[in-house]
Amino acid sequence: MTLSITVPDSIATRLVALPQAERDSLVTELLTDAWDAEDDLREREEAAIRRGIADKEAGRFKTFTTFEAFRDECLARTGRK
Amino acid sequence: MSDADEPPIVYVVEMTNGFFADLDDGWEHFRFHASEAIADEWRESIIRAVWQIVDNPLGYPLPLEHAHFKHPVRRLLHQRTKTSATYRVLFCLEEPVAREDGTQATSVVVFAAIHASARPLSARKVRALERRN
Repeated sequence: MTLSITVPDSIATRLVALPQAERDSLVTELLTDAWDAEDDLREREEAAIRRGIADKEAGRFKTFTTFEAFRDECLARTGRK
Repeated sequence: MSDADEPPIVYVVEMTNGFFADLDDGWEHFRFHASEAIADEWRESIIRAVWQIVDNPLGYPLPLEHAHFKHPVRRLLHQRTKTSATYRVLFCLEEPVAREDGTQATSVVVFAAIHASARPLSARKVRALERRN
């Protein structure tokens, strides 16, 4: 199997300069992080959808028919912390 | 019945509390990491992008990995600028309901707006960072 990874030139230059074992270890770490991030994002998306469905079913939502009303609500609900 | 005979569809936008909470989190994120002006700019851009969903909600892709959800969830990817953080807006379309005026109303339910890459640091990562510092 072939995997490819894209890094900036500055990183590539440093990778090439590293001893083989250290380079293999670092690349493995980068790839593992990338896979973890993908799994993590999928889990966060699913959690967000479950939360959204629960909000909808419990009536925790607001209906809008005009952009102005929607925008006003968004402004009122942010920056209050 | 031909397409021309189909009653027109009117989209109604429903925003869940979760979406508003995410919007607030995003605004705070940009205010903390950039500035209040950038946070306001981001909020304005994502508000407009979300509202534009109703122009063509079927034009947004269905994420395959969410096929097991009862509601088919679609995804809008939003960036304030080409190089800024990507946010994923998750929404679904409900079944059309016939109205008295002859139109059909379909609800666009917006569930969330989540940062595409921000995530809490794992304990392993924290320990690794501490060792490096």
